[in-house]
Amino acid sequence: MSEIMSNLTEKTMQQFGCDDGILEPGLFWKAKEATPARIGIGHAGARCKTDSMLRFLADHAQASDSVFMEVDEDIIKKLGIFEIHTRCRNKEDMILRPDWGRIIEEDQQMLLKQNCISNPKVQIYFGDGLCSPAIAANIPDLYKVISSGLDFEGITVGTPFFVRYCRVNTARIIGPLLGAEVTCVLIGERPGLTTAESMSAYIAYKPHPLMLESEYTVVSNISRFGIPPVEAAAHIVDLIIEILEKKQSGIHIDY
Amino acid sequence: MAGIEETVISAGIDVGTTTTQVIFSRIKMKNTGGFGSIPKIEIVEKTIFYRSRTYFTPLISEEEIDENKVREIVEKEYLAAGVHPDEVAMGAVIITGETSRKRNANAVVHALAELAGDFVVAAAGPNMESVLAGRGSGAEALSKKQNCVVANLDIGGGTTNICFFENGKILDTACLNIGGRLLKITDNRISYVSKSLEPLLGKEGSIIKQGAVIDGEVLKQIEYIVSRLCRLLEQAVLLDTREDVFEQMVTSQAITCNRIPDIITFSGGVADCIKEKHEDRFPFGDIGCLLGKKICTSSLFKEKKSGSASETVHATVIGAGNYSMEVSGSTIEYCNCSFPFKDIPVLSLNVEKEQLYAITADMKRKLTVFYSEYAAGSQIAFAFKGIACPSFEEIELIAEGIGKAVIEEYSPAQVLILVMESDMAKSLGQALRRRLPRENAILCIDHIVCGQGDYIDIGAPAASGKVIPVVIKTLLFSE
Repeated sequence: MSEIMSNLTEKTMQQFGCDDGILEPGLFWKAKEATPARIGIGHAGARCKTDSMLRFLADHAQASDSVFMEVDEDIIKKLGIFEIHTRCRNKEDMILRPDWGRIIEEDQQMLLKQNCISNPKVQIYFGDGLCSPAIAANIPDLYKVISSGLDFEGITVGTPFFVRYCRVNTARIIGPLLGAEVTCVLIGERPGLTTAESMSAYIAYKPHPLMLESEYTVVSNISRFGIPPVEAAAHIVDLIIEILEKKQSGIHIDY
Repeated sequence: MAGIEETVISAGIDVGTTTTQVIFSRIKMKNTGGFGSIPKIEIVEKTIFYRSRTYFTPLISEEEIDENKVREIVEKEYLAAGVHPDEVAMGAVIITGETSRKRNANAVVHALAELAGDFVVAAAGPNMESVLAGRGSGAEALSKKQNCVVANLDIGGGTTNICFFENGKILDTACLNIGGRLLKITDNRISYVSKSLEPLLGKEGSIIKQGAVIDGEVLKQIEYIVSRLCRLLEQAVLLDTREDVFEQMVTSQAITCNRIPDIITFSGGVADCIKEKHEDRFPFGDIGCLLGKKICTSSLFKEKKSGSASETVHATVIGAGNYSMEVSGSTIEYCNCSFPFKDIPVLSLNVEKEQLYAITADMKRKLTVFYSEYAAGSQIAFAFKGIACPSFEEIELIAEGIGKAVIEEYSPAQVLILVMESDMAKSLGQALRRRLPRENAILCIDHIVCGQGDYIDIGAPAASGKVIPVVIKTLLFSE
């Protein structure tokens, strides 16, 4: 028990199981390898065993933290970018008012106008979304690969920035505001019990307030536990090139 | 989003010691990635839609394959199946058993590969044979399903190919000079004695010789030899201690993995003689049936959960048609390449986290060694494991190192072929494109395991250009 208590989430879920009374433990652990889901964790009567209960609480706390945690200003500084925020004033607003998370007030719009180049081919920006740790974990590799890839193809990339309390649909405002042909939001993804630093890319050709959700091209599950950020980024470069060629995004791109 | 689906035709051609066969199958590739995911093209279905009849392999002499007759068979079967070589996207031709030791084997297999389709590869070597037969027989799948060690013995006319699988992975392979046609009988006389039998016949003139009439004494001797062959098979799969003569019966290598199989399966022509009852001792004019019967009463059957494989006489040809090829990862990079690439030798490259600065030197050193054996400017491929989830800086360093070696050492006609295991080919490929002249040809693929001494065949991109089919050959003709 003391060993488990030292770090509750040290083991992967694949290594976390209870093979008491299992006739063929080898097969049991093989089956466990197939999924990070909480299968084969045993039980005590009708209830969870203590260690799996503690593990659940720990994973849940981590997921919950990643939603409510703020992205540290130092991280933004290190990335060498500036930040704006949506109408939300804090994380509670962010959860309770999804509609505010896509509204950018005039003063913040001014900030964008002043600090960004206008009419780039592609505008990329970062949002905390529902997972703040995703920014520090993925943006450095993700952004550098995307921007050098697009640069090489002669595609101008706008000034990158960070949007605090950000929802995907900020793209409907920011895209037209900066006059970008393609807008790409790299945003923290709602965490689960297995990963708390995943990120998605939402890419739209000329987004606007009345666009359909189906017009977003999405790449999800970007993290060291899912799709490696550098590979996801290289794929996003190709996607953006195709979107620019076809002048449409989302379900219109058969990718 | 997940709409990519493509079905291609694959051909398998096996020219064995005794028989020659052709099969065609449809191989379906599909994007299993799902919405929002990066593409993940996988082979989801393999359906054999045509099996040729089983021909005797045409020979001009004991040393030479009748190339023209083999061509005729193959051409005839393409017509009968209604398949044009242009439609065949992939597949393999393999020359197996004693036939692979014929003088013109190498020439025939390459000629057939040319005839059979653009990306039908020439495969050979006892190691590859064992693997393909083991996969084609269903032993690989069985080992995965049962999560245990399965040994498949593909007993053909001249050789027995053995492959050990554990939970769907290859453990070891072996090949022995044991087969159903080491002795041939025509009109109650011995008409052929294979050289492979010599170690068992003793130094003094044995009564087993060409022309001998099958009387009681000779028959007894034949049955004795068959039981010796069977015992050697037991020793081959580690059921018994190996006798001295064992080494002399080994074609290329014996099983050394030291694992006792949980299940033994049999494929190849002799496998059919295990279950089928024949009145006659020599229904096919050879010792195949006697050997089959003997195996049935041996410890190969008694102690183990054994039986015929799901595919027997067709195992190798199905292996060639359905299991020789694999597809790369779906995030890859290539430009200015003209496909296919055939029989490209593989050199391994050191790509270790702490030694990324040493890549240029390592690559140049290996090229120098390579060019001392091959013509300067010969096409090669570099293979490495790669880094799991590399950073941008690591990708840049690797690209810088490789790019430098390419600029200094590659001729303009050479394609930079990089094959890796970790998911990093696309980002590395793009980083290389940024460093090399735009007209340079680059091919960068991942999810493929191969190493020094292997040969790789690379087909044209499939599934909307998302993946590249490859065949890894671990042994070519050893001569």
